[in-house]
Amino acid sequence: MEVEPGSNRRSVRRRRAAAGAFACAAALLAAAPHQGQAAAPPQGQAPPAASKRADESPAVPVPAEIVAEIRKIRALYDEERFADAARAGEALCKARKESTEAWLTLAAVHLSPTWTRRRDARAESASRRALQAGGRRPETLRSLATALYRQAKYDEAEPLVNELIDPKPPRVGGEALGDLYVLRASIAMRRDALVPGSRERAVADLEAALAVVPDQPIAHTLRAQMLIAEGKLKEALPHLELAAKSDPGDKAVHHQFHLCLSRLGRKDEAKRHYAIWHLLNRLTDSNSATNAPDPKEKREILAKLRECNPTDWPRRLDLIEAELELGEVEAARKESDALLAERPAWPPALRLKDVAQKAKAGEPVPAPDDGGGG
Amino acid sequence: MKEGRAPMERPGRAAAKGFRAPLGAVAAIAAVALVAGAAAAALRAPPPSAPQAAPAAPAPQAAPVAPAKNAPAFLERDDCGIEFVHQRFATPSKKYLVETAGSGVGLFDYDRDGLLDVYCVQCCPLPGGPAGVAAPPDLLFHNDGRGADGRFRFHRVADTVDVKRPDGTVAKKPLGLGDRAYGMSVSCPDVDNDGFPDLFVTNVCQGVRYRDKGNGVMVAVSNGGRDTPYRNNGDGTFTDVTDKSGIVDVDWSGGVAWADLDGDGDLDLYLANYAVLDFDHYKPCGTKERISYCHPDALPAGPDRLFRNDGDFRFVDVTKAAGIVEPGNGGHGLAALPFDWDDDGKLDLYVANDTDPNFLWHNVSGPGGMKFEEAAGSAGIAVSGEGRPQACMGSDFADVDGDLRLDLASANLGREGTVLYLRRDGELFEDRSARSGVLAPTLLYTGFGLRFLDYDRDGDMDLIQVNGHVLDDVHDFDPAQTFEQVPNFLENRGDGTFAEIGPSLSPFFTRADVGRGLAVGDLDNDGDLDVVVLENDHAARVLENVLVTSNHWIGFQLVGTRSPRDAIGARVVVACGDKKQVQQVTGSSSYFSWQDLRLYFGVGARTDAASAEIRWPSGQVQKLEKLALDTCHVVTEPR
Repeated sequence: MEVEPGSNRRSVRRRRAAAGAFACAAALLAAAPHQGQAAAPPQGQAPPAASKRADESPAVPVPAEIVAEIRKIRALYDEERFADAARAGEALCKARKESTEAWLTLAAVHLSPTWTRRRDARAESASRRALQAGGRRPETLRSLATALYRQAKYDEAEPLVNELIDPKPPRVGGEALGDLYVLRASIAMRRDALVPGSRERAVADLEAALAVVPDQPIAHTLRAQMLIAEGKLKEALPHLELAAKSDPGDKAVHHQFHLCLSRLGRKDEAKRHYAIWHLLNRLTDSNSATNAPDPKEKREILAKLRECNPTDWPRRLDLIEAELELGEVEAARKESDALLAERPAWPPALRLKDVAQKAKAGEPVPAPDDGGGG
Repeated sequence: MKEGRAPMERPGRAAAKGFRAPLGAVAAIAAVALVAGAAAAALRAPPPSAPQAAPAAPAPQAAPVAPAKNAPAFLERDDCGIEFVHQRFATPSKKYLVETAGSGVGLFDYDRDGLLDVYCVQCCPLPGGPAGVAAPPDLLFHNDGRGADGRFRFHRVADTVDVKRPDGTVAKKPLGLGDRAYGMSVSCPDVDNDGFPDLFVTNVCQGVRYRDKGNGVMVAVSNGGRDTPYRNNGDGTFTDVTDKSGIVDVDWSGGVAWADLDGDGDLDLYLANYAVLDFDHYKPCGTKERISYCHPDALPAGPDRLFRNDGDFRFVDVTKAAGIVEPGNGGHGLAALPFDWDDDGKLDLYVANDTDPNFLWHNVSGPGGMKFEEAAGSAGIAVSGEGRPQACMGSDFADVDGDLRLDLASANLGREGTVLYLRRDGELFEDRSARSGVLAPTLLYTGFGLRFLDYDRDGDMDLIQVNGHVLDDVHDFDPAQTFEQVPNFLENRGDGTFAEIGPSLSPFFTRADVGRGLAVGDLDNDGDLDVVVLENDHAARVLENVLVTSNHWIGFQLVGTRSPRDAIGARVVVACGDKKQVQQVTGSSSYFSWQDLRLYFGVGARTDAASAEIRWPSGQVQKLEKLALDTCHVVTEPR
């Protein structure tokens, strides 16, 4: 189970990507601070005054040129041009080593839930540089905790999470708080049978997460995973259904569905979820050009996913993009129309339809991100 | 421990379970030949000299010396004569991934004197490495039995051996071994069912050249390190039969499985290939300043191959015809294990893949055929319980929770932790790594050799795992991990949960090295299980089990007749008092290694005569009653 603190894991991956891990840094500047102004707190986060600590640096005005660079990086990130975003982030950090926001931005790119070639170690090192530059700001601690968790450095990640969520009131709020509860629960689950009480702690944290964010899909998935392990299969199913409703493109949900339904003897349904898991895994698991699916295979996978997991809207967008990449302009246009028939006036689908129509008229299709940097 | 690296602190080391009171001398091994359920007189336990023949008694062994009270359970035997230093031949300018893979070790009684001999696989210089370095050979060590001190001794078998002619004279003859390629795995099955175990060594091909036949098909036209079968000539020598065998495979082979997959009574071969490796065009990974070993994903997965044994060392590649079509981008295979997943009497194959979903090739063959369908997802062993592909390396089956169903473990990369799948009702396995206690003590270790064994004969299967990271500079990236790592020894508490007890068993479990191949077997026929470990760039480690215990045991050496002679895949259920246990003859397991084919069951303090039910690969079920304890029984399959 991949836990993405900072990610609301909603059904639209672009929203997930934008408001997800990137919230640590990019959302910090979403309020578009002007030169000389302090950065606004991320959405759902306690204002700086509420979380001020002795070792926390005061909010420093962010120079306009840094804000502008971060906006560019954010735009690349939102377009899922992660390699370009990472390169721009490196350049920014090289030029502005003193900037907490620059380092957090670079970390945020490498914390992307959807970039298969991200580097968790770079996210950690960048977060540490942010820590040096700006002190123990909540967003910095959250970024570092996430990077550490991703590398299974649980002993280092957990105190950072505690530092953020144990104070009364917690130093973060909203979805960020829910995500951190999930992260801590996940660590506790891995310590089961080693540290007494881990299981109970995991359950408590998951319940706390769901109290804050009732549709937190990872919390539902993890809770289902625990129930499946206890043999409470029928109790697990509602959690999985809620998780799948929130994020039908999360392969972990389908894997748990597969395990749960298999044990319930509902083999055909289990097989369907395993097939979805397998396709999603093939799409996202390879982190090198050697073994990652080529554009043709990618299109085949996405076409299959459209059939067996039709509400995974972001993959439907990916299918259109894959067809555009292969020069199948008419197919891309048709797919855009089909998607728009199900999700009328959905901006990303409209945009891709526009690209397809322009391509049909002879305009070049924007080149895809090279995905490098891993 | 290598210089400059402190031994890793082990998280959560539990206190050792106390040693049991010494009983005194352990009963010397004996064997009972049992045919069709009838017990025969107890004899010592050599393999029969020919199929169906009664076993011959070897020279009696000296009684073992009883270890002192509170002595360690495993005694490191660097004096036992297995003088083998593995060399991985690192090339700093290239860092070929294969350099970090390590090699295996095989336990087999090649001369049928009743004692397990040891075959150690070696590597060789690679392109870009130091020039003028000669390639050392693989080595075979003969088990000479116990010396005057009561401990086993080995000597290296020379390149030329004395062979007795029929007229009684002795002639010098080449041993016929001494593979000098870049060796990976060794397996020692009786390929031709002649009673003498043969050898099969997988190597990484070097100097492979491909020629386009003009139709887009690239054909390998030369290679310098083929997978090599050696026929045991029965006179103490071997013959390389690669050319006639039909086994053509130019990819980097990982583990292999030998099993009768088409029910014709001989062992077929499954090659779990790791990657396609082209030394001439190898692109180092990392940066200009720091070259690193590549992630497996940087190398195309090598397609696995299935070869049908047509007898007389002739094999036919039936991969595609048998339905071995790997999904997605295939799998980086490192281990292959036969087992009967669905209890239909046909052996299926589990293949552990590195970073890719594992395979379970479900055998759906009709009579005499070979047909498989991939079913790892249905079985719940394709990925971890969290839905992630893992690094799965050394793997083994055993019933760890006493429900008479085989469970499965695979060693993984550091920060993944070893995965333990428990068999549940129906066809499903369940990932119980965390709840069983296996995950936590292995979390920071990169495991390769992994094997279940009941080291203390208390009636449950414990777990040994040797470790060492893949990256020789991992410490620079992750201070919690090192290249050299201490091994794990997890004791089964009796209920399928485990506790780390390694340091209490031997100093071996406190020293960090780069563990790879691991084989477990009874080297001195005393009824307990010894261990041989190969580590990268290190002398072979031999651990003699010297635990003093009053616990009893019973062993089985199965001799197939309708089934392959090695009886791989046979399942034995033993009942002793209130306790029932199951084990399966596996052969290749752990990591690139070949295990003692005999099955050893600890029965604790129980003293009742045991009974056993054997399900042979042929489908026959044989029941045996009133079996003596503290004895290895030779059981021949009814014809």
